[in-house]
Amino acid sequence: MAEGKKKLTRRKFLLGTGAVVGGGLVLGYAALPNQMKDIAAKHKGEGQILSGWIKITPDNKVTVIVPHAEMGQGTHTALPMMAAEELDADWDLVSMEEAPGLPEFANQPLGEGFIVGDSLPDILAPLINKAFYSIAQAMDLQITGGSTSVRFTGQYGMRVAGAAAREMLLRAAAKEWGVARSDLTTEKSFVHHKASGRSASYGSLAQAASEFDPNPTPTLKPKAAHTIVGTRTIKRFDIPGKVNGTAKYGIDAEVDGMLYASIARVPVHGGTITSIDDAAALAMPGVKKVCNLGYAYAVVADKYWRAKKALDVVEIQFEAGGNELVDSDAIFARFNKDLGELELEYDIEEGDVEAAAGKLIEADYAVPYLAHACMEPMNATAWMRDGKLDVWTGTQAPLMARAAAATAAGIEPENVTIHNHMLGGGFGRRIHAENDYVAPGG
Amino acid sequence: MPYTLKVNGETRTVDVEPDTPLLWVLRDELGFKGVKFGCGVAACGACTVQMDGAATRTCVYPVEAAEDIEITTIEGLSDEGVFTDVQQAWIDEQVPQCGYCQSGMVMAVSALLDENPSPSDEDINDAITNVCRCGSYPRIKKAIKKVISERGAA
Repeated sequence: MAEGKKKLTRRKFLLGTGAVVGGGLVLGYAALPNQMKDIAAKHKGEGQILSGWIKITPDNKVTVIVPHAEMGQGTHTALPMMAAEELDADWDLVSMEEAPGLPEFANQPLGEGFIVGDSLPDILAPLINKAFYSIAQAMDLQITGGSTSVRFTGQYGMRVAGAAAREMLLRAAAKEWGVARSDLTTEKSFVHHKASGRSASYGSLAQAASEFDPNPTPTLKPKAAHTIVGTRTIKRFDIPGKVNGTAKYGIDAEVDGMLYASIARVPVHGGTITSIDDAAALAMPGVKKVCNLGYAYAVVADKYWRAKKALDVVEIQFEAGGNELVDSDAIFARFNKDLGELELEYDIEEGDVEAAAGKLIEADYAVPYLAHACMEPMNATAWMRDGKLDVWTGTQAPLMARAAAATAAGIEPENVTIHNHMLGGGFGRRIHAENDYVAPGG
Repeated sequence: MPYTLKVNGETRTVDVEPDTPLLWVLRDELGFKGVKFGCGVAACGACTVQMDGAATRTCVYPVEAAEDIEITTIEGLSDEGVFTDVQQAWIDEQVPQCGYCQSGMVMAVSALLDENPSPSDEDINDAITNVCRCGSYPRIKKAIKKVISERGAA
């Protein structure tokens, strides 16, 4: 085998961690009329929900509901742009809302409607192979990660939702005016009938439009007809709040009378605390409690600085658990062993490398295991009231956070509300399967 | 211990331990959440405010040393709904990504430009050592130069 062809792919690693599932929720809404009714029922009185992610109010304003977290990648603006483009909306009238952490906004509709069923559209086939390494795992997620928001949710969801909503508006206008749909045009959130000179705003048609079922396979605009995407500079919605300190991150959540916890982990991943001496910490001002979580310990106090100072005087003994000898050298040694011994798969095979190669260049490339190093420290704020739990945090996976908080609190996930905020950096750190920074709060 | 602080033009009294970092006083006692907690060791600059006009990292600055100093946080930089030229340049150049570092960044840059209206690249590199994990540095430089040229033309 030619050395040049033998490679592990980055994509495989990403998929292996379940990061790529954005495609799922896409089709859920835009394509499944029965889901629409559930969504519409939940958003009653807030304007007409067309195609799941698009809300149009009588004042002709369009709100795009984005099922992804904003962590600096611009998805809170890019996805509304893609929906607005196909909707033919006036960009100045478009705003966005982040979808709540609810299963309706996750992959379940896709799982039930398409994967388990047999009516898989061709367009989805590559997604199933490449993105859904495990259907079962994909169904319960609402993840922002793997660079999938624009590529999957945007491409297969927002565009379809926008085009489907536009079609519904056209049908409503055609019915009301008794004219052929093909004689109607749209521009900047208005439907026009040139022959009669009639025009109507999307806002005035939204109610009537919602009576129609969305078409799961509407015709999408050709690139040449774009007026928003790729044609001009669009300023991000989230930036003004990020230059004057008003943007709210998880760490900014505040509840009256809240307590603060400062947490430290056992120094070795996978290690367990065997004994803990918390006497000195408990004697410090404002300290309420010292918690032994097994893999970590935490001090709860009335102020953060008091919790942090008290944490420093807690003494623990721990069992390392087997990872104490894992370091960069050991990791590289393992990589090299596997590279030499394992049969590796091809990601892409194209042409004949050996025939095309003029000069053989050999080099080793290696990068160490790196910390994600988000600027905003991991955090969550939790408030349990009457058996219901509210959690304020910044997460790339709100449903996983909800499940983790529910398990930690011993209640059903339905009784947990995740209030997702801006993420001060994500990079995959805030997608962790066990949501290690949410569960201790729960 | 009670301390009297001058924050954003107002006099405020807080009752905290003397070694409490100013950061936590500003965020949790006085509600200025725009001041951000990043590293806690004065390395990243997310917690930067201006103290008598000088960019200062508050996560290691004990409150007991903060009395009798004019403290300005990001909230006090401009009136609500109004942007300073630095903030406007940040919007024009679409500087922030995740944005977590940008309060501190804006405060540090504002302090630099008030002190030195035409800093060289070297001056900027020396003065603005705040960390941006998203890597917005090239746009930050562009935005700084925009302000320099606009102020020069005014």
